[in-house]
Amino acid sequence: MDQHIDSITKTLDTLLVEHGYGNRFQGFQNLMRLRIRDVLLVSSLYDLYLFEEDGRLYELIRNEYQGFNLSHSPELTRVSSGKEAIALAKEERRFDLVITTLHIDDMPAIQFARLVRESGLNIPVVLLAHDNRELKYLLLKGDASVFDKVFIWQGDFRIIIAIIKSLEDRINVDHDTRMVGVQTVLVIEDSVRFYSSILPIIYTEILKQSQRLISEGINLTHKFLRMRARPKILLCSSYEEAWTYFQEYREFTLGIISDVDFPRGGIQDPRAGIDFVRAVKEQQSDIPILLMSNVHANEQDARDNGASFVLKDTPMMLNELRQFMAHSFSFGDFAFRTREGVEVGRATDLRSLEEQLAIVPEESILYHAERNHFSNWLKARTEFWLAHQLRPRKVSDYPSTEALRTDLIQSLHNYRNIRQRGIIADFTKETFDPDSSFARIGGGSLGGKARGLGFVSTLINDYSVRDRFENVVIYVPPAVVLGTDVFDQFVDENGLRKFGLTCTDDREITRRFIEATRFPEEILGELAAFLDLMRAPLAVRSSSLLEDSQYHPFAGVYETYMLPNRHLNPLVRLNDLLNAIKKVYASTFYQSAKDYIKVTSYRLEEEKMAIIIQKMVGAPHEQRFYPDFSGVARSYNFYPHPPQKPSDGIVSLALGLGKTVVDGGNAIRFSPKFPTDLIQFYSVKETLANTQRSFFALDLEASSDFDAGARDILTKQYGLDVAERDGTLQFAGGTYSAENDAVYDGLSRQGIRIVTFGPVLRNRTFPLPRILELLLDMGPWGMGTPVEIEFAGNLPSGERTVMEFGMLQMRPLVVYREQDQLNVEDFDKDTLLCQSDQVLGNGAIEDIRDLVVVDFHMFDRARSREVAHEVSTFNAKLVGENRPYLLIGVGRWGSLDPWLGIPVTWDQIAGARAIVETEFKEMSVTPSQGSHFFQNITSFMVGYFTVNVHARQGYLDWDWLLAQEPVERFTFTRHIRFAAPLTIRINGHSNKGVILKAENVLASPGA
Amino acid sequence: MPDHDTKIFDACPHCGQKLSPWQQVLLSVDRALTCKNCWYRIIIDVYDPKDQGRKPGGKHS
Repeated sequence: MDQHIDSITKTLDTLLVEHGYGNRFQGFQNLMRLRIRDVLLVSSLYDLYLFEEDGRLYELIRNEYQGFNLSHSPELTRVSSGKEAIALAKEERRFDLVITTLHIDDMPAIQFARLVRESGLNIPVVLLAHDNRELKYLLLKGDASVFDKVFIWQGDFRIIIAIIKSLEDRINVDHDTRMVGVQTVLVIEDSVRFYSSILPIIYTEILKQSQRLISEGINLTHKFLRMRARPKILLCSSYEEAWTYFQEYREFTLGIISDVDFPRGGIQDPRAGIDFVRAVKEQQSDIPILLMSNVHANEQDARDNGASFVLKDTPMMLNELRQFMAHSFSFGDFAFRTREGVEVGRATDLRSLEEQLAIVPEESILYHAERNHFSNWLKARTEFWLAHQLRPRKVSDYPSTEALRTDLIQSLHNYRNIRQRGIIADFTKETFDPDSSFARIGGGSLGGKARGLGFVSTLINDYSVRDRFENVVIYVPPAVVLGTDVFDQFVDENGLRKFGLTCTDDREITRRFIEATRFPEEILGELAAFLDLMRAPLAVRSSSLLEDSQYHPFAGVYETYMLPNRHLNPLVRLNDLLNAIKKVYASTFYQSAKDYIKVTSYRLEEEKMAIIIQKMVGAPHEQRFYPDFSGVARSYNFYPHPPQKPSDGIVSLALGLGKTVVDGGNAIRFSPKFPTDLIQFYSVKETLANTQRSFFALDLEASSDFDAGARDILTKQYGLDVAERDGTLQFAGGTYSAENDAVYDGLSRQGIRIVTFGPVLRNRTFPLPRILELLLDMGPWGMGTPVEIEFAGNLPSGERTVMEFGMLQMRPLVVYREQDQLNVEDFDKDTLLCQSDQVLGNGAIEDIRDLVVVDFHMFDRARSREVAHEVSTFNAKLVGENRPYLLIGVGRWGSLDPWLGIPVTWDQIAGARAIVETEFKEMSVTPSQGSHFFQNITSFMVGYFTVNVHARQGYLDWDWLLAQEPVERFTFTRHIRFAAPLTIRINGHSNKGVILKAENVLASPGA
Repeated sequence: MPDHDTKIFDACPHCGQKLSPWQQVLLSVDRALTCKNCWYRIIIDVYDPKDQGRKPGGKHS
């Protein structure tokens, strides 16, 4: 027994009790494994009529199950004869229990039960007798032991539920007590009539109370699971049977309800109950026991031995039984008392228990701790792990009662924090913790982004990743998610659906959405409650159904808004939040979203929008709010530099908000396994060209006028001089000294400030590379695909002594499957239009006849926006004609910065099947792997060639290209069409690719 | 929380293949891990600090 307790202890000492592989409550899922799912009822039609009263028995039972949040009610099949029952049971082999009445067509019930045994069916058979006299006759004349148990019908259909539950409890008790420490209630009664009447009451009370108590901050799914951990009732009819159960499950016994006069040693013993109480109390003095008897004189004996007493067959008996259970089984409030019984405090849930513990007198804490009252009360609420943590607290273990008090409070507090993490609970003001919670408001789906975040949160919690590095906290910033039902309700109630689908003017769509007045009231209330708790800046982000699918991540398609959330007037803050929500809703119908969806297999009507409202990661610096670092990490590197491998991953890191990275700006790129391998800094010139020179921050004092045209107007760009003043350049900055033509880490010298993150990457002041290495390992393990992670964080400074690492998003990454290795080596240079060793994609593209080309000689960096517009026009035309094309241009496609390349958005070039980017006259291009643009390239499997001719990295025959007569021409761009297709071949394994010239002459105009 | 009481392997005790940081996390929490190199099942005993003579070790299942 001690070994058994030890192994339970060890199990309970870890959080394995309540954790599993990314799925909390794994322990609870293993409970009640063996179920009565199919019941065969053998009875006459008349008996069934009596059972059913006014409703169908099946429905009555099902409603009862649903009412108690019990997951599934059993199926009931009725037959009227023994022969039919056995034949059916043998044929269908699905029944877990047979309930028979005394009146079956073709044989006595006892004979039927014997036949069931002899048939080898191995199904328990329970007799449900209708009449007490008939039953007495049966018990006198026949051998009732052939039945697994006998019950009497007394007009309450709940007896059938009690029969089923009692059998389930008996077969599961062994496993469930060992698994999580589920508690047991012993019921000792030999009178069939009596236990048939009290068992349904006991079950109803236990189920009702359990359901009521399982409520704190968890959602319906978990309530269902926790109901499985309700106390198990063990019905016994003799002293020996009861004692065996008690010995077996002593540690788990919640209480005992017992008759006084029952069989011991095969004969009726009028003192069996009293002796049983005495024996139990000798071993475990604190177990509550209720004795029930018709003999008044037993009351004194009962109380003398520390048991409660109820007189049977009095009108108040059942009520007193209920009261005993409510009081002694700790179902009620926790009443703090002194030794004299004076109440000094009361707690209804974990939170109030923690609060009361701080203020009740010491003597009360002592009184309850010595008697393990805290532990018992927690177990009634299925908080087994916490109960176990608190149980061994003997007062003598502490130097003072105050120390015990502090320890109790701390344990409760930590537990409540831990439990909240990793669950997407329904939002309530009482349980939401603005430092850690992740909750939902409204029904429907959470959408792709929120699902990903919820998953990350679970992983971080279940695998104790949060505190895995010293002085570092890794977390998902607290958030609430508005489910897609809110979107549906808003769009439909305001009549915006058809309008949104058909309108092509984004400004008009925005205006109509912002002006829409109907918003679900109960949601408004919850948002207001949320804002009451959350005073930090917020990011309002899309989380649509189609987003973050494995095939089309929809990166950057929908809008994100950031809110200072600082106004003194809560109504203004609520209004700002509402407007941001409406604008995200509106972006579902923007032209860019429509264009994006057009080239996928989805339909816009299928799209629904959930919204994440998340606390921003960062810190205030005067009127700016931003993180010390942010970035995107991918577990697969498409352009690894030896000795790096693709699976080593790649990170893009920037100072300030992550907009720098996701919009394709300059950022530090490194592989977490090789953090000092910074290729972009191989020369001073490259360093100055490729380094971040400004950063983004939220302007906390900007007015949040939500006009119809603006995207996110509150995020502004600042120079590094501002970061230096704010102190945030301390660990991120480096200095270029023109005097020495050299770059130095740190800010001690005079010179031009640049971002290098030298102390972090080279000097390893903070374990950022190791954190990223771990997360880039965790992500693919959890998601089953390579992943991309967006993150932001703060380094220690001033009052902040720990590094904060916030996971903002994790989504699947589309990676090409390697197929046949295409040979790209053996081509005559005359046939080559383009060749590169930095190519994304794999396979052959052989159906492209159209080219959109940016004229290398005409291109003007100062007018790159016009170039983008021209390209967009060609794109629209070719998409409309359903003609995929090859896009060739200079600088970085999709660059945020118009000086670095052509600032197109993805929808403006969505028709391109392959893209070539080449260098500027002054500057080479480096592929920016962290941007949304890049992600869309990979997800749409667009062939992507990077060519730097002057650096001898690849080849592009500009002369041949520009000599071709275009079909149409604008200032900077031209559209060329060939009669025969080009050949594009890419070897994804070696990242090499070629584009071969079309064999034939140009297509005639109009072809 | 960092598991201070139990030694966690950083390489498979059977083939010597280095375990990644995440694999080490899995091992510390789940107490069991299958090496992807040799398919050896690494199992960690629950280690009682009071049990002086007994050290944690990997068991072959």
